[in-house]
Amino acid sequence: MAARQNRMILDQCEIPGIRNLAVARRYGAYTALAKALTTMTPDQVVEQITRSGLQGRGGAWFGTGLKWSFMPKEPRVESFLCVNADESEPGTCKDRYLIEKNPHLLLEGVLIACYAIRASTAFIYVRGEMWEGMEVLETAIRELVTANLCGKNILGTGFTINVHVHPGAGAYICGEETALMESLEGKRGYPRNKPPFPAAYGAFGHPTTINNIGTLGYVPWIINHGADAFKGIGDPNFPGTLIYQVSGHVNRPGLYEAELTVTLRDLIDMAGGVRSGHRLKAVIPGGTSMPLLTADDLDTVMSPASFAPRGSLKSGLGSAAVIVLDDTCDMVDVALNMMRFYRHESCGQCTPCREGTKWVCDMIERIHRRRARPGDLEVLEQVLVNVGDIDRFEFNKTICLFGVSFGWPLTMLIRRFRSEFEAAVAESTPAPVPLPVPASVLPAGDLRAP
Amino acid sequence: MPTMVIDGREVTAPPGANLIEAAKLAGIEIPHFCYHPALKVVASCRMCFVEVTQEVRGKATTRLTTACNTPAADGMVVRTDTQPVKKAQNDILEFLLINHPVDCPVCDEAGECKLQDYAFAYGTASSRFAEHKRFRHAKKLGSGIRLYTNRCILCDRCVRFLRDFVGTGELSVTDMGNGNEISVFPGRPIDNVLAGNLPEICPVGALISEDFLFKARVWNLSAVDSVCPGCSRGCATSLDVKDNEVQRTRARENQAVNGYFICDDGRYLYHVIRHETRLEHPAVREGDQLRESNWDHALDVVVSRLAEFPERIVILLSPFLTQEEVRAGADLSEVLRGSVLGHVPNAVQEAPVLFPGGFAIDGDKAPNSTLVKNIAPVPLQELAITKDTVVLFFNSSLRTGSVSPLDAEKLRRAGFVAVIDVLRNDITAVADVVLPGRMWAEKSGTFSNSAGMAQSFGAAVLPPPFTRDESDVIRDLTRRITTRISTGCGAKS
Repeated sequence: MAARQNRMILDQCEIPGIRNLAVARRYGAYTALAKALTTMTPDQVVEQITRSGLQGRGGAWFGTGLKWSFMPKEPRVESFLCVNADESEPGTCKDRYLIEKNPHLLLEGVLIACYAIRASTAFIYVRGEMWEGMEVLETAIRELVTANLCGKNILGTGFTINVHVHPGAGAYICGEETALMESLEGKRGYPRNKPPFPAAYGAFGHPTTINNIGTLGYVPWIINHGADAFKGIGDPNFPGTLIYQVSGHVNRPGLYEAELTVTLRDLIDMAGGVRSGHRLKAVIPGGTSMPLLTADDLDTVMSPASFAPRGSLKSGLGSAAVIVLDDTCDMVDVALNMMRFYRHESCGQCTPCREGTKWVCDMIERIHRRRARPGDLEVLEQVLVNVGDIDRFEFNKTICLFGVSFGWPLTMLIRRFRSEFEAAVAESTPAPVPLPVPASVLPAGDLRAP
Repeated sequence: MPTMVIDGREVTAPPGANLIEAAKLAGIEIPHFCYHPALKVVASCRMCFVEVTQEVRGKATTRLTTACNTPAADGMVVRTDTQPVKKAQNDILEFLLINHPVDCPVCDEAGECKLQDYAFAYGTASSRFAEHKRFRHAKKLGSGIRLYTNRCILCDRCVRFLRDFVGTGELSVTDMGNGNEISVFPGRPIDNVLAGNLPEICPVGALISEDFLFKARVWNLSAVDSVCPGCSRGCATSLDVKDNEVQRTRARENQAVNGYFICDDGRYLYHVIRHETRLEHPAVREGDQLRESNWDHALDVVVSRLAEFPERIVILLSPFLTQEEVRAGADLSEVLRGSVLGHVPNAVQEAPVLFPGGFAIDGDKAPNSTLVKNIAPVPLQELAITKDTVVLFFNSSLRTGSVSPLDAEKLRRAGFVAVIDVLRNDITAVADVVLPGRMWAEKSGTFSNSAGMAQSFGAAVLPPPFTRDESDVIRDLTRRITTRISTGCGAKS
C-alpha cells in the first residue's frame, strides 16, 4: 500500500485566488504574524522554531531555529534576512510553484523570520528566469504595504520590516548562500570563504541569515499550531513534510508533498509509476548534484537520515528533486547532459572546478561521439576524484561545494553504469591528439586594443 | 602569539598570521599563486594545500586545507609534505597547465614564473590532457600592459590590486567558469600610476610590460639594490642590468617605505640614463658658444675664477645630489673661505598621492631635499647674485624644470656660472663651464627621504666614459684650489 501525501503546504496553494491578500487572509494568512508580533518576543519565536525541529529545505538540512539563534541579540549594525529563491538545481521546481501560487504564505514566513532575527530588511533573491514569480511577489508586497503588514510600524507594533525582491541573473552558483550575497551586493557571484559565517559577516558586511524560501513556508504553520504539533508530523528527527518534485520517466510528473518517512518506491507510485512498457533504470534523488540510485535502492526512505555522509548509498536528499530514468536512457547521454550544465555554470573562481568542468565535459563529449581513446575512462575518473573525491569528502578541494556537486554524481554514475561507458570507449575510433594551439605571441597588429 | 608545529619545527607566529607566513618563519615555502601579502585573501588558486591536525571538540581531526586562509592557531600540527598534500599540489598544477600554452621559450616571465618553478618542484613532466586547449587573443590593456590571455591562471591578483589597493578597478573578470578572462571595459583602459606593478604581481607571464617586452631573458639580468630618486619618498628598487644597460626597474620590498610596490614614474625613470640630452663631455664657454673641452682645462677655468674672487663665490647644491655629495659640497665651501653656501629648491612639485592600500607618492620630485635644506639652509632666492658673483652649481638634476624660472633668471645675472649636471637644460645652456656628472644608477651613495631615513644604493651600470662622479669632481676642485692657494700659482701674472 502506497503512502499517502500530506499536503499541508500544497493544499493551500490550490485555493483559487490565494495570490490575493484578501482571499489569503480569509484563509488565515498573517494570523501567525499578528500572533508573533503581539504575543511573542523574538527569542520566543526562535525558541518555537528550534523546538519544532524545522530544518532548511534548501538541501543542507540545517536547523532553522539554530541558524536564527546565531544572529546577534543586540546588533550594532542592522541585520538582514536573505531569502534564497534562486532555485536552479536541475529538476527542482518547488519554490517557483510556491511563489507563483501562494506568495503570502512565503511572505508571512519572511516577516516572522525578520522579527525573530531582529532584521528590518529582507532581500528575496529570486532566480532571474522567474519573471512571473517576481511579479507576483512584488504585487503581494505592495498589497502588504497598503494593508500595513509590511513597511513601517506593522500592525501598530512599532516594528519595521522592508522586503525587497532582487532578481538574480540566472547563475546557478548564486544559489550558494555566500555567492548569493556577493551577487546581491552587485559583485560577481563568487562563493566566499567561510569563516566568517554570514551571521557575523553577511550581505554588505552585516549580520545575515539566509533561508531557503521553501523553509519559511512552514514558519506560519508552526507559529499557529505550535512546535509540538509540527514535531509530531512524520519522522521526529526530520519533522514536517517535504515537497518532492518527481520528474522524468513517470506517468504523472509533478509536486508531491509527503512526510519524511516516504520511500522512493512510494514517490514513484504517487507519480503514477514508471511510464508503461519500460523498466526503471536509475533515480536521481535530489537534483543532478546528488549521485544517482539504482532500481535496487527503491526502498530507501527519502529522508536525510538515509543519506549519512559515509553511508553506503553515497548520495543525498539534496533539493528532493527526484528524476526518474527508465531503460531508454543511455548513461553516457545522461553524463554529457549533466556535465554540459556544470561546465556552463561553474563560476570559475577555484582552479579545480574551472579547469575540471571543461576537461571532464570534453572527455565525456568525446566518449559520447565515440571518439574516445583507450584509457580515457580511467583519466576521467581520476580527474573527477581530483575535483571532488567522493570517498574522502574531508579533502574538499574547492571553496564551495560546486566541485563535489559534479565530481560525486559523475563518479557514481560511471561506477554504477561502468559497462555502458566501457562499451562506448570500446566501439570508439580514437580521435587524434590535437596539435598544440598556436603560440600566444602574435604580431603587434593582431593585438586587440581595449 | 600562537605556537604550532610545522613539519616538525616549532613556530611561534605573530597574531593574525596565516599558515603561509608562519611557515615562512620556519623557512618552509608553501607554494601559492593567488595569495599576496598586500592583497585580500581569496583562496581561489587552491595551490597552498596543507594538512592540518587540530583538536576539534576534544578529538584530533586532520583535514586538507588552504594555508592562505587558515590563521595560525595554538596547538596546530601542520604538514606540508604528506602524500595527500603532494597529490593536491600535483593535481592543481595539472589543472592549471592543461590550458596553459607552455610557451616558456618566448615568454618574458620564464625564469621568474611561479607556474614554471612550481611545475618543476611539485608537478609532473607529462600531461594527460588530450583535448583542444582553450585559445584567447592577447590584449593591450593600457598603461603599457599587455595581457597574454592564454597564459593567465586567473589568480585574480591583478583585479584585487587595482580594485582594493589602487582603488581604480579597471580590471575585472568577465564571462563565466571556464571562459573566465581578465578584461578591461571597452574604451576604459588601465589608467593609473601603479599599473607598472601588474607584471610583477602576476605570478605567471600573463601580464607583461611593454617596456620590458622581449628585451632580455631574466636569467641574464643582474639585479642591483637601488633607491628610487623619483621623489622624496625613497622607494626601494632593484635595477636589473644586462650589457651595461638598465633593462627594467623592479620594486624591492621595504615595509618601512613602499611595501611591495613602486609607482610608474619611478619605474620608468631609468630611461633618463641613456636620454638623448645626456651631457657626456665637459664644455667651456668661448664667446657665446659652449665648446667641448677636457676635464683638466674645464676645471682649471673654474679654479682660476674661484681663486680670483674668493669673496664672491656662491656654492649651490641641488636636492638631486646624494648625501655624500652634499657633504663634500659643504666641505668645499669651508675650504673656500668667504664663499656662501646655498641650495636651489626643486621646482618640480606635484600633489602628493595616497592610495587606499597605503602606498604614498610624495609631491617633491627630488630624492634628497630634506638633507640639502639641513646642510645648506639658504635658498637661492635669498642670496645676493650680481654680475660679479662666481656661482658653482652642483645640480645633477634628473628632471627638466627642477630649477624654477625665477631661480634660473637669478643665476643668469651671475658673472660666472660653473654647473655640474647630467642633462642639458636651461642652466647648462647659459653656464660658462658645464661639467658632466653621473646618475644614481652609475654611482653609489645615500639618499635621505622625506621621513629622514637614510638609504644607500650601489652602482648598477658603468657611466659614460667622460663623465665624473660629483664627489670626485668636488674633491678634485678642492685639491686644485688648495694647491693654488698654498703655492700662490694662478694669481694674475
